[in-house]
Amino acid sequence: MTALKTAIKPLALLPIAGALAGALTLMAGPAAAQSNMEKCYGISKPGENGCAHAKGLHSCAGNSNLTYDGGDWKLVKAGSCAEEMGALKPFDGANPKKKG
Amino acid sequence: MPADAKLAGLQRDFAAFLLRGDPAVAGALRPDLPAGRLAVYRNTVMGSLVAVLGHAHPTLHRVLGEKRFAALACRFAAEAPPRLPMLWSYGAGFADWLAGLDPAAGLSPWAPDLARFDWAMHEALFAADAEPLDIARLAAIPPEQAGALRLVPHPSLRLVRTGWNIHALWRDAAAAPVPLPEAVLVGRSPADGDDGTAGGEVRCARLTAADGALAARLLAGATLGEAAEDEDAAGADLQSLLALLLQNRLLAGFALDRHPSFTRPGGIDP
Repeated sequence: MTALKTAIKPLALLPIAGALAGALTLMAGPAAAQSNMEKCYGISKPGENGCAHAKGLHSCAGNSNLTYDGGDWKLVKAGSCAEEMGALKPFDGANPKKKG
Repeated sequence: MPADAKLAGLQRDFAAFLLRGDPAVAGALRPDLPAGRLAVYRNTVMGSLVAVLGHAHPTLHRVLGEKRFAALACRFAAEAPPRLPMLWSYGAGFADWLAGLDPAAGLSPWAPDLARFDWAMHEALFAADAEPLDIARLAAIPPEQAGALRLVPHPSLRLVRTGWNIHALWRDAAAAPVPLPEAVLVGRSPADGDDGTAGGEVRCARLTAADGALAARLLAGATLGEAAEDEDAAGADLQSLLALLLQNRLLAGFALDRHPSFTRPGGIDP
């Protein structure tokens, strides 16, 4: 019969404490480090939107049936939304810059 | 026959026809109508249930394709119709039902896990809200007590451990299913504020199989020390897992297991 585990081995403690401390240190870093993507509104084709519509028209990825709608977004590389002719904030209606 | 019993019998037969479509039942229900007339009701009911299952399992729906998904969903709906008057709750047993199908029937072996993943995302969306844990209190834990820490997961937190490339299938419509031991962590992070996602956003992250084993122990209430000793978690990265949970605010609290050798007067209240 194996002995019941009565205590955490002191040796095992150091890596665990280190991991917790390390994770907390990562938390203290700038929030922007969480992601190098940004939400870009008004550039998604039907069925290619990232997630819920800003006005609640739908709640799921890929559910949009509107083209370049200002309430739908896609994740793009941070800083590249303007190149895609999108906007970083939701807006009303379809994206006029993406017509045609 | 008393009128009540007659009505109950009629409703039972009609319900059976809606789910299974036996033409003999339809003929007995209304001999005066053409055979196809009652099928209109059956079509509406089954079509709705299949659509509900499809919306709750978008990845499985996409990878299987409309025809194969609808065929399976129809069979499931006939065998396990909704028991609650809330459509969002319908489909909880779909993954297990898929797993119980006869393997000889040709169902893709990855389908149950993909359904489990889809359902985890679905449940995460509807799970209760919870305040994220207080980072300052967590940071105040003395290092020698870290091993005795138990985490309280956010109500939306789900873990899917699988032998298939579930995460790639979800993210990339061009990916093909391949065997790959991994785990996917799913949770709803509280809303960031002005980004229009009221109530938060469901996100998922891919974990290695070892990190998945570690996460499974932690979510089941093991202490950090117990979870780290798990054989399946050998090689797991506790720091990255904790950072992932904390950054996405997917922990609702923590508790400290006090052991005599670590208890100090005036220690931290769990």
